[in-house]
Amino acid sequence: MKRKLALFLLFSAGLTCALCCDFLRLLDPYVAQILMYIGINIIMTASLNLVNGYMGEFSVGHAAFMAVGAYTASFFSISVFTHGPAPVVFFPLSLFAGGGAAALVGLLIAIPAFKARDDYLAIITLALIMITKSVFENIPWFGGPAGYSGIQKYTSLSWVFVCAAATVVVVRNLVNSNFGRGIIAVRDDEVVANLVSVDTKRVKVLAFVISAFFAGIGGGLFAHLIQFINPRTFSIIKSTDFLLMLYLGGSGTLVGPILGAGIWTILLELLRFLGIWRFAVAPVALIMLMIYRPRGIMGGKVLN
Amino acid sequence: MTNNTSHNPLFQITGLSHSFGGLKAVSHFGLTLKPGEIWGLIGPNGAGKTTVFNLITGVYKADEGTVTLGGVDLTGLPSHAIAASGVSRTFQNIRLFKSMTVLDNVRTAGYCRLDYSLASALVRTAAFREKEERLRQSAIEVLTVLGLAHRIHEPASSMPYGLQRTIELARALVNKPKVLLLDEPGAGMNPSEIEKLAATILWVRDNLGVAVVLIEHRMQLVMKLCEQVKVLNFGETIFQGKPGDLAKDETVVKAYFGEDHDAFVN
Repeated sequence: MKRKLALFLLFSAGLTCALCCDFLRLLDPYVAQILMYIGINIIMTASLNLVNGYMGEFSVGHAAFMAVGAYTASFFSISVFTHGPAPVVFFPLSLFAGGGAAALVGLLIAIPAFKARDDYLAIITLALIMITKSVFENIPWFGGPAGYSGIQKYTSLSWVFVCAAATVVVVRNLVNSNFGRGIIAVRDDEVVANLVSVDTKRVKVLAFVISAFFAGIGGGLFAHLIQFINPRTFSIIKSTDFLLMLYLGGSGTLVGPILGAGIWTILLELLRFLGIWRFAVAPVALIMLMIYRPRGIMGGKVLN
Repeated sequence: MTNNTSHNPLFQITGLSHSFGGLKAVSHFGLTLKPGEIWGLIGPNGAGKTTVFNLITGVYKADEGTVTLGGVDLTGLPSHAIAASGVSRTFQNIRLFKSMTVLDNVRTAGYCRLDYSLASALVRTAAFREKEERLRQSAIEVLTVLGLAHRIHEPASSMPYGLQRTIELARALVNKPKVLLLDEPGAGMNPSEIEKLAATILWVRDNLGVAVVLIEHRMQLVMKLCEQVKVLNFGETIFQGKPGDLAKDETVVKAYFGEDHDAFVN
């Protein structure tokens, strides 16, 4: 009960801070931007953790779910809610639509995952990235290869905070339930999981769909933050970023993705003075980390 | 011993056959179990004993034959549904969930008993917490009975070999199965551990009323536990009867020792 209260207070305090920063413009816009990136990256990494960490699969398709979420959410706020309610009301609905669309794609990818694992699933998810990129490049409504513009900046610290907190809480509660034990059992030994009554198909679908849903939400927030998206934004490079953050922080742990997303985002900003060289220095730092802490910063520790 | 005097079969296997390519792994295997019975399934290596278990539990799909439990046809069901309906098993090579604690290994097997919705798990409703607590209690109960109460929070992979076998047994029992399939539970154990294992299996049978099928090479265990044995050789059933009569049966002796031997040593 005490822990619950502490968590609730922490959440309220965080939300109050975020709201204050948004409305009173307490923060330098640059700092606020970085914080929002961190939040979005936490959403992406924590949701990726469900499939790549807890379930032990190797999916590289997270950028595709993000793209579907980004495009769908943008479409809803630009074209569906034109003369409708205020942004405060429809923005969460747009995000939700983005998450829902991504979840549908996640359902599609869960089906081949019944048959294929490891490298094969990685290749299937790689194909998913290529397919989504081609699809968005060929829909004139979304600007094709030129990109989708006219998106308003609805993303604020408060929205990012709420969504990131929701993602982390959902992942935590899921993992500490029957479904989560099933997901971890699939990682440890799928055949035995089935033989001790775990409906492995069902938990796989759940993991993929929930993971994709939050990636879609992250995509929606991302689109409404940078206000312009194009298909190239969501290439394999984007997926790689989230994989890096996940393995940096420690996959299969609750705190790992938060740490990984925070550290990696800040590191890339701090190294900005190096110019283009930062893209050489940061990976070297990552290699060092993998040598000295191969299981990530939080590797092996369980912190709930 | 159970007081169930009815002669209705609890678990019935008829005409179970399976081949891998051209090789007949199991042919026309049949077995009828009453509640509380312990059957032994023995035979030389590669005789098809584990394949029988894999067919029963749905790891392989049988080419022909049926499996029924309490009149319900289990043939062709997915493995998790067969497990949920009351057929549990352990494995020849220990297969625990290595990243989990002892308690979570056992709780995972309670998957089919928990019927709360995803939504109630995500917001942790009162119903969710109550059902989780009940499963936790019955997992602890089983582990306590098997003497593991003080080690439930340790990682399963760090436990000594003999205890890992016990955890597998606990995992198989948490759903209160009606039929328990034990695949060489005594493998790698010394004689005193075998004694303890035999006592445990008898306790489980007497108190939980399960019927047991035991694959075992250790004749010490077979003689002690089994009322009836079946001997498989190249997928064929070559003997069925009391374990005491094994040594008198010529085909069995031939299967184990070849033509020239006339003594069966256990």
